[in-house]
Amino acid sequence: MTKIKTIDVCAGAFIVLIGVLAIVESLSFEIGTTRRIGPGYFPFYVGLFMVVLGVVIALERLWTKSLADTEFSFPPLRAPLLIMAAVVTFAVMVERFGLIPAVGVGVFLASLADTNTTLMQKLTVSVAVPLVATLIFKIGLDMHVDVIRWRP
Amino acid sequence: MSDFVSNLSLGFSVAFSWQAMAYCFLGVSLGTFIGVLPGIGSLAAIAMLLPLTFGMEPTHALIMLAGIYYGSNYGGSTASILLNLPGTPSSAVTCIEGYPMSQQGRAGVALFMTAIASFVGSICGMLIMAIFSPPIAALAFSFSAPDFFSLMVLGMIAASTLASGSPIKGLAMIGLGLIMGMVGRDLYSGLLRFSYGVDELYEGLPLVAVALGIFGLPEVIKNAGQITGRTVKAKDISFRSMLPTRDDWRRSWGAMGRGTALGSFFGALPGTGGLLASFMSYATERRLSKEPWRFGKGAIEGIAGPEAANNAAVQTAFIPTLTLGIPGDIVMAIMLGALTIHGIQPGVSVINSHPDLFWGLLVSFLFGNMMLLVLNIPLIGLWVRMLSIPYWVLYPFIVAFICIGVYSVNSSVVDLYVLIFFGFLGVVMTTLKFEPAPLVLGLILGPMLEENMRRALTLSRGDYTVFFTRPISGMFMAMAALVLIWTIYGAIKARSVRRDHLREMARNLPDD
Repeated sequence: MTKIKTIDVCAGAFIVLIGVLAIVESLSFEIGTTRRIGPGYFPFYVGLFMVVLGVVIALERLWTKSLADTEFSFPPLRAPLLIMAAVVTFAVMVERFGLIPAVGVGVFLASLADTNTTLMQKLTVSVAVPLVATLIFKIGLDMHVDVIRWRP
Repeated sequence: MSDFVSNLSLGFSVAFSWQAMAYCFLGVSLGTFIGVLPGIGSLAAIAMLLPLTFGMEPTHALIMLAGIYYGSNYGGSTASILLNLPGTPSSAVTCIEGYPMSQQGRAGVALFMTAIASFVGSICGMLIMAIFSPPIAALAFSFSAPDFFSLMVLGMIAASTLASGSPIKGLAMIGLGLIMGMVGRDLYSGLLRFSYGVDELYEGLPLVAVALGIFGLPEVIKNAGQITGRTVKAKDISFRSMLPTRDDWRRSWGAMGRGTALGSFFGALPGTGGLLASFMSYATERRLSKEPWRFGKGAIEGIAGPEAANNAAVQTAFIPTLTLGIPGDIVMAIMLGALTIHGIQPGVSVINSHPDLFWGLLVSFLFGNMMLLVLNIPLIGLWVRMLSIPYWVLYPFIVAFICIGVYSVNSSVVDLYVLIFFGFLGVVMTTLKFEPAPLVLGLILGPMLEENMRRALTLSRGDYTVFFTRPISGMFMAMAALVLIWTIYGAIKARSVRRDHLREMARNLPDD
């Protein structure tokens, strides 16, 4: 099995999995009858639809003959991990330490995703962004958030 | 007719206030800015800026958000022409002819013509919206639950199959969106579905967090460290260099007219938008041209048509959104969310119960497009200079604004975890080659779809044929079936072409 096929088989499996999750969730509710639809009716049939689509996605690709498959390379992980880490950091810190520390640390993590910049450039951004954000959101728009607080 | 005049004068009275003008100007400037910069789409930008509008009057909020949207469509072509990098997805087509023009030293002409074509497309789209919205809204008053259900089915099928990428994967994304739309309290039974113990989700998934997670974060992830080193000289674009020749004008008028017609049609169809319209327009111009060899080498009609198409589509996308409550494209879906947040229930009654909003918005399009003409022709040098802002400066701001924007909607950390979840989902979907747009459409239409299905089946006492026997509903279902058949036919044809091609190649291969 070539690599590009792997992607579509994974994609099909992913859709089947979600369909199954929906069906499982729908079973804890009353399905009802077509005359009086229960809360489980719509999720059940959408789940079923997803399972069918997932199987078709996987099979359609397995049946397709192709000579030149593009090589599937595992996507680089650096940018996704660091950007997601930045958001997690913000979520964890904003109500404990306030806007400036949360944005500062988050932005520093995010700035590490670009490998072409110097450390000085990264630090400059990490200081500038929280200040601009405070100016816009706290001073300009009077957002309900503490700029700095200590509630670990 | 007198109705039309009084409606328009109401619109002028709303849009002519200094506040409305200021928000309109702010919106179109922000939109141009965002459109010019590659790496931030208008959808992410609108979702990011949505929280800023919470304190405003709904009409002003909508005027500004709409301004961002159509403004970004003007700006999107700038980077396409100068750097071969589309600023917005729908301006990808403009790269094909725009970049060769700029390599031939005709960047100024290309920029000028895109601004003119965008203006022509927008104004015609706006007029169509003004003329057709009241009758459509009046007609929609006679729609009942089965008709709405079928119209939404048509919109979802059109959106998933006519858009880019695999149609079947698009349908799967609609399904995923429908499931996401069920998260929260069921309207009929009051039970919590798909909340997995998170009680904060009882009102459903927060739209801003979902949209930014699925569009905003993957966009930054894809571009961080990738967009580097652009050099554009602003002073190369003088006003004199922008003036098209008589030949350019001659070639462009027809293309603009055809582009506007295509764009107005596809924009008004629920679910499809400017991207499809601009590709169709390009293909049409190429087919109609008497000199098809000029295409790909800087044919000006290849930018005038698509730009008119995509801007006309942006305006007419407001027709189904405001008259039926069914979004014309994915940005309109976010716009509907914005209306709901401002306490206006989207649906057939918006145009009647909030005429000031509808007509004020419409007239603001006229002012906004005039402002954009000024921003994009005499002031184009300013935006070209913006292109030299490096992405390493820009993207940390985007990440921070995404986080703060999501948090500020409800001051809730749970929303941030939703953002993170959908960010991961977005990355997984990109890896597995799924398009995110149908998901958001499914998410927004899901609750309306389920409600109308329940209501229709209750009225018909459980008889499914009601969706096919009612004339309006049956017509939508027939259109949906046609779209599906056309897609399946296209897929089978493509397969057989490919198979023949493979066989041909295999025959030409030497035996091992």
